[in-house]
Amino acid sequence: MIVNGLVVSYFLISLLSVVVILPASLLALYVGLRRRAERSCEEQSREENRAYLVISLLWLGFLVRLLLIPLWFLTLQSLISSVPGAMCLAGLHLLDLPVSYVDTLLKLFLPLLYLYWLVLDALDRREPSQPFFRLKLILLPALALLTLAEAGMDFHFLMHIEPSVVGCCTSIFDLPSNGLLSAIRQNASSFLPLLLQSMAILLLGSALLRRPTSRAVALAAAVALAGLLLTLHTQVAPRLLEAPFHQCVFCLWQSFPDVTVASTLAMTGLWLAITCGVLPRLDAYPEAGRLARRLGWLGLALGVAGVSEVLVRFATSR
Amino acid sequence: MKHWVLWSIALRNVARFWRRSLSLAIPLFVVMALAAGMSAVHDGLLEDARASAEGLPPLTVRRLLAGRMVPMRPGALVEIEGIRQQRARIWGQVELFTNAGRRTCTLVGLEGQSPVQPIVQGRAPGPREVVVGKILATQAGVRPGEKLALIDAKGVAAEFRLVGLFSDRSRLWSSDLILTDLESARAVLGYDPGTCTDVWVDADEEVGTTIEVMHPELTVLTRAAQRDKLEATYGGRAGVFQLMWLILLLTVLLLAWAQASSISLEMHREVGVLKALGWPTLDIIEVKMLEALVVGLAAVASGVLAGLAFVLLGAPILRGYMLGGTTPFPVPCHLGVGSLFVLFAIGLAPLCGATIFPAWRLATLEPDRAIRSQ
Amino acid sequence: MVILESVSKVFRQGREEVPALSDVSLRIEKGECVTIKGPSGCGKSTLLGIIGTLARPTRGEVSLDGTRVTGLPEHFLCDLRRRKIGFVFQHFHLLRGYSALENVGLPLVPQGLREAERNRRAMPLLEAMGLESRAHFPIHHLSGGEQQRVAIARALVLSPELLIADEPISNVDADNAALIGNVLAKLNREGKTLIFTTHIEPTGALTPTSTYTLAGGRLT
Repeated sequence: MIVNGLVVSYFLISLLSVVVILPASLLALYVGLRRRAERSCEEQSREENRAYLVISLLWLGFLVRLLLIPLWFLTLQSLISSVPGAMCLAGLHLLDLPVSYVDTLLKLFLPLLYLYWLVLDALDRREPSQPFFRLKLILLPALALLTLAEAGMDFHFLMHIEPSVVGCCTSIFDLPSNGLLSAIRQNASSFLPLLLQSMAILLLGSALLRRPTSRAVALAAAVALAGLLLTLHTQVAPRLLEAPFHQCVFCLWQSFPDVTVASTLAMTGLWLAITCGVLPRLDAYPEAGRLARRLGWLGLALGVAGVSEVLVRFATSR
Repeated sequence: MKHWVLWSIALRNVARFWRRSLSLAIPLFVVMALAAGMSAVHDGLLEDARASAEGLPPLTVRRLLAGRMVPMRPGALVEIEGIRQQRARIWGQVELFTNAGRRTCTLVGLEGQSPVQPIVQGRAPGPREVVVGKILATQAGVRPGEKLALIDAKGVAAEFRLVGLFSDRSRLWSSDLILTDLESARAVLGYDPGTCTDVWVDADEEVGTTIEVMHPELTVLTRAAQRDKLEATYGGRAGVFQLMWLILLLTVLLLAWAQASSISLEMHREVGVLKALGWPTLDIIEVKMLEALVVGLAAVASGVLAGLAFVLLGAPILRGYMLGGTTPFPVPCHLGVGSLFVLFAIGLAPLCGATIFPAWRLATLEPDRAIRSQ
Repeated sequence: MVILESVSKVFRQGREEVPALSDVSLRIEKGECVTIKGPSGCGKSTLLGIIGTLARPTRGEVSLDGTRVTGLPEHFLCDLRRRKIGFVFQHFHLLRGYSALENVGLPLVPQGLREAERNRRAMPLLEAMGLESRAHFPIHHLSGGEQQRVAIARALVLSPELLIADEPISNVDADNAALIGNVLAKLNREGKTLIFTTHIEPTGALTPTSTYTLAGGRLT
């Protein structure tokens, strides 16, 4: 393990994220399991106060998760010079496969799960009957487990970073082979517009519906999200979009900060739209339903804007 | 919109309870100033290391014997395909005598006309001539046209004329290197004719592998590897420092916890009144968190500025720790965006963590009891 | 409008239980002016707190405007307080460090209104209380009577239907007591329901339509 200032800082903030989510989830489990339909006002007050602590901790946890993403990449960046052969983040990830990639992916995905919980909470507090109360409190331990797993993988990965020789990303991503994939690549120019047009039709269809349901919004968002992931995928994107093959997602995000911002915006927005769309029994709760629809549209708008920016960047830098 | 209004309320509260705010801000300011000063020196060194690496050739070929560098003959590489240019280099430590006193420097002699560093004043050195960095010239009190003395391998002083200065973009080189021609360096450092310390090679990186295969006794360093080595050398101490600094930060956090937990009667009542006026519990928690954030932001921002100012003034205490007590190397100062982000993250996130529980306790007081608390 | 059914409140201090209210039932119609009397420590403020949703009863039911508030989540109670209830406290409980105008605007903060808008809405109320010249004074520069009038203006800024005042005239001199009494009476005449506690006889125009006495936690 190589210890530098960033590694120490990263561990400190990572520890904070665990310290925040663990009591929150235990408390949530306690409240969720003890909740009874008939309870005294004092019990209700105690329960609500505990729920406020859980919500506050989750908000803090969410913000800490957002801090951890750039901190993680900065930390890895600072270690590249200590690992002979590694020229970028991809090289470092080779030191602890597959934990490294799972860890990095989880780091990007966890804030979205936190966001889902916070959306669920916002919807829940719109209704006096608090329909999602138990669901959101029971979901928390799963979130805590994932956070713990991620912290464990952080430790595992950083422990494995040592001054040993690794191949750089050129050794991972070779030129595309001939055959089927190559054939797809040759047809990329027709495949890409098809993909974009499908997305556009779906989005337009949702917008033209007089009162689009949250599910329609979620479907459109899911298509856009799939498009985004294909756009960013290291080996698929070059074939579909005729992007420079060697541009792995790390290079892409480092070389084009606007793509980083747009990807973040798109993932967050589309995730918001999807989660608001798939919530159960929303029709039965008018206030929560209204908020979910608004959040869904906001998410879709953010998502489409983000995806568009990524696509435009690809189109102009090809 | 509401959140902006809550921000303004939090700002107001920080001013209203200014003694309380200062009691947290001052220790955090001191800790952050220390951390920022250290980061600025660390980043400055890394920046300098990168600038220093820019002057290096794509490949440097050395001969190792039992893990130690020994003199080599440059002709061995002639037949290797892909080498665009190769230049023998001789370098070593010499003592420099000037009117300002004596100091140890690195003397470099490079084959060919173009020098290692771009000359910003004067011309490239010929026999018995040297070029030094602007920093070294200032520190040693010499100007182009003047003479200076170097102690050769036999302990005899050799006189050289200073004919030019190179830039101070790399402080490392500018305060240490003395450039001369290959033969003069060979004479001063006592190398046998036809030998050199290493060879600078202009070729693609892949050629390095060919050289190592064809000449197992030779080792090739790429520019990237040399840059990484420089960065790793200068980046190493920061981890140790960070551990010490974390202990200080922890103390501040404990203070923040204690301060946020000691809720005055006035605050009790105030929260009770606000809740009676219809303020939701989460809004009160948000205001309390924002208060901590405002104090933290102010303390971290001013701490960072103070730290930078401290380094720009010469960093009297840190300098010895980071650079070694006797080196004449001037303290570099640079704070990258990444370091700035880390400083704010490490200063603010734990502070919010230390405040959240007391803020929640305060905000969940039953209003009726909070108002009537005595 | 306000209905209390068999409301009891017990405070717990460690293992000790201190009953404050026992089996209190009460019905107050819209537009009424109700006073609750009783010696110090008899539970008047607790009763007002329960009516105003500042405290939850240990047992019993409370309804406001036909809405059963007893089981409502806390943030709904906050919303209810904001929309329907104004409070005036015995010790005014104005926030130090703010001006009179800013204090009056505080209940508007959760609505996300900017300071300029809050002040715009608060100023007419201070004018109605005869305090326009004191609007920008720090609150601690005002006399007791002036502070109480600021507190009344604050209670009215969201135009609540129900005004709850805990000993509103106990901490001011006789002249100010009469003035505040007149202000409250005027508000009651304008249709606001007024519930106040006092241990001294109200003077001036403030004449309650119903008077209850609280003793030993029971209402008579």
